[in-house]
Amino acid sequence: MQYRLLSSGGEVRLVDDEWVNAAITIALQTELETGDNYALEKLVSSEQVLLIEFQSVADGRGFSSAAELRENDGYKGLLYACGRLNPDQLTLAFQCGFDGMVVDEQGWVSYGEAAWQQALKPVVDSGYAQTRWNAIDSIWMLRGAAVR
Amino acid sequence: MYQYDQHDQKLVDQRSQEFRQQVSRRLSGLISEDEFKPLRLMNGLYLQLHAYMLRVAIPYGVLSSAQMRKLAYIADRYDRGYGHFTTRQNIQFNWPALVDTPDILDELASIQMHAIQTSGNCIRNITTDPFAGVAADEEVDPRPLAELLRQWSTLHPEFRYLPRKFKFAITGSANDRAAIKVHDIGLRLKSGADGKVLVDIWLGGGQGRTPKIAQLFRENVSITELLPYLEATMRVYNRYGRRDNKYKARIKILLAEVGLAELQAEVEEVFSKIDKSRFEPVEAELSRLDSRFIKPLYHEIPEDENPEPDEPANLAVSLTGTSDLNAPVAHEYNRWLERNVKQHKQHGYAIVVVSLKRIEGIPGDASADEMREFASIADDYSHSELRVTHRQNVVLPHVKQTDLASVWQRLSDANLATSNIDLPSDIIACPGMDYCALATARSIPVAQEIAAHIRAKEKVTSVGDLSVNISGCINACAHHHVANIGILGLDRGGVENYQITLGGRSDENARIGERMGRGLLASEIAPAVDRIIDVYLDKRQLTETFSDTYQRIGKAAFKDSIYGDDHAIQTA
Amino acid sequence: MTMKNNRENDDKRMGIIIANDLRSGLTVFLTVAGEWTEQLSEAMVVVDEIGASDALSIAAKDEADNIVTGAYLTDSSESGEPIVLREALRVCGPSVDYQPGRSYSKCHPGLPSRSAACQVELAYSVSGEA
Repeated sequence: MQYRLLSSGGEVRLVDDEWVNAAITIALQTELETGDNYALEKLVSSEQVLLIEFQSVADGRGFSSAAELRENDGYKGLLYACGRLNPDQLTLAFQCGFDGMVVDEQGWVSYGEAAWQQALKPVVDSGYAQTRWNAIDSIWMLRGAAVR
Repeated sequence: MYQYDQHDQKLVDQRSQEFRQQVSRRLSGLISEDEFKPLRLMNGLYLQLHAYMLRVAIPYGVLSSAQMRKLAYIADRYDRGYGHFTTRQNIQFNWPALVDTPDILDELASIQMHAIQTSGNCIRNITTDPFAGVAADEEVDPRPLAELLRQWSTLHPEFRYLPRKFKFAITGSANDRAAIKVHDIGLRLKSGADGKVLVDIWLGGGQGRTPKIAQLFRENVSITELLPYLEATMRVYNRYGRRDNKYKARIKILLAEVGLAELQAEVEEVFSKIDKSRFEPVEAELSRLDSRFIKPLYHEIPEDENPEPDEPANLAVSLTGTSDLNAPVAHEYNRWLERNVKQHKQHGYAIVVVSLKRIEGIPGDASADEMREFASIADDYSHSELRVTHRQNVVLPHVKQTDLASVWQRLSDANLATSNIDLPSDIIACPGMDYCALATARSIPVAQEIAAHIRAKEKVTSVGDLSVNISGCINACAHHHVANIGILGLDRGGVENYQITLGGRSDENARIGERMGRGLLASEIAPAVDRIIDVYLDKRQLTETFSDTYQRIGKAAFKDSIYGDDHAIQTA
Repeated sequence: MTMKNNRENDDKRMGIIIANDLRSGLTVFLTVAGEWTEQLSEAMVVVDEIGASDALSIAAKDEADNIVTGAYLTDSSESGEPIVLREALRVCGPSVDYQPGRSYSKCHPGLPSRSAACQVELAYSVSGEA
């Protein structure tokens, strides 16, 4: 099976099962009691690609998980979102620290290439008050810069 | 009030442009309804019983006269000439066509308004005290922080797909007029010893199927720590809030299931790891916002002068040529001064609450003509500013005492001088099954009937403050759980059936009302409410409030009045 | 798409197909000609399971073709008035006079006039004084 790897900068690259299987997919915890279990000490220093799987388009846990992995745990390697996501969520993924999204054939076809291409060039190009790993300044930073 | 800068304007312009593309993709069939639905909901567009409904945010309830005029224009041009103000300080248009909604969003963007995050599982419109910045009893003006939170939460990339919707309310006064204890997060702003603002965070309040009063989650949070702390709280909720059952998905259930201490510990841990520098421009931003909420240029009135509103007698003279205090006009004006005019922090000024609860009217509805009249009165007498309240009324926040008679005259001429603020006929009602696809029973006609039934009584007896709220389904949009007299409309075998709860309140001593007994038919509700009020009038001591009387004497006497032998109830 | 069916298994019962027009959002009904109308009086009344299933497949196709959305079958009288209160309100409502003294057709000339079916609403009237 082949997948599209969508990265910031608008790149779309074909990858195969082998690539996906070589990556580590992080399972999200659902119960607070079980605590975090990313086996972080191993992962953070790992050379491998990490994937966070979204189980439905309405399940936004992965956005916070990615942000925490970057911000709190200091993960610097490649991080991709995969699973059930739609084109409108690509911008959010970048803002939360993902390097991009892995889209399977079904997702690619059902939303259509045009929608995915458009998602790589979103109409709303700012994170508004938020700034994250997509390196766009927040409105607060822009205002601060204007004052200085 | 807050004015957008280029960055705020760019966002609403881009969002409108983006939605135009999405609507166009839907109309041309490129995307299905299933794909389109989440996109339209993110822009406040629902599909209701009769038509689409567009919910427009009124951030923290503040409107300029220009904005109010534009809402009137939208009502006339794209809807059926009216709008409905909600308990979340939003306005809803009930009949827009899908093809027109991109134009409506453009119109809104042109006056610094939008419908972003008025629906969906995200952080909704931030609500606050409708008297923010003007209330005599206020410690801290909550508006700059409310605007800061609006900016922080708008398009926040982590929190667009939460387990469920999330509602914030803020108050800066000990007398809570924002119902903060029945919100997912309620913020109470206080003035600290060194003059710095401190925030108490109340968490896990809510209504709906499982009503809960919020618990004090963290006390005395500094302004610099507030945003990272809220972000940590939202992260924990996003990751651990239940997603398997939408009735258990609100943060109140997470709090109940894991317990206060455990949830606090988890939030503290996440908070300790958050990179606070990411929020650093926030202090600069907050002081910029502070400077944007400058006081209007009030006419300074020396402390030793006490300008009074025109005496009812004088008004009677000018209107009728008689100085008879019992003249109907003097009497009406006097009642309005008593009920609808509130104390202002600026000497010589008053806050005027305009009731949208005309006895024959629809609670919270205003016609386009009325909206224009509000705008015009605000221009003439209230520094061009208006507020909307969570009790579905409209506020003129800066009226000179000496202008009160003129304002009353203008309102009276427009049939907008109903003098019933916080009286039983000032009913909160959701749209119910007359409009709402989720409703199980109607709310509006029952509210109208109650108001008609009790209006005479509340005029002649001094009932005083007493809240009656009616919701048309268990989602409790009309806050029936925290009303003194709450009414919930359900469907029982195809017939509308109404349950009564008593003793609730939504203020700083918030409490969930107690359910009485079996439900009543629609036609039985107004007489039952009337009898409940009779019990209160009979049993109350001195100036005791309804909920105090209820707590003191218990439910028995009230329950008897509803179901007693003299009033044998046929159940459906 | 979901096809709500308010009817029980009784092929003596009759029904109409209700949907929302995609563009205007207004409530529309399927006609005998397989078109959609805002006039309840023009709605097709299906009288048996075969009729219902045919009508629902037309509705499904029109949903797929982005003409209407949320189509379903609901019980009605012989002349097409909905039986269930919610549906009666949907067809005839709101049951409250939202713009006293103002004809709403002024804003939307295409609106249906209130048909005879709105008598249904009176039967449900809350006040009992109607």
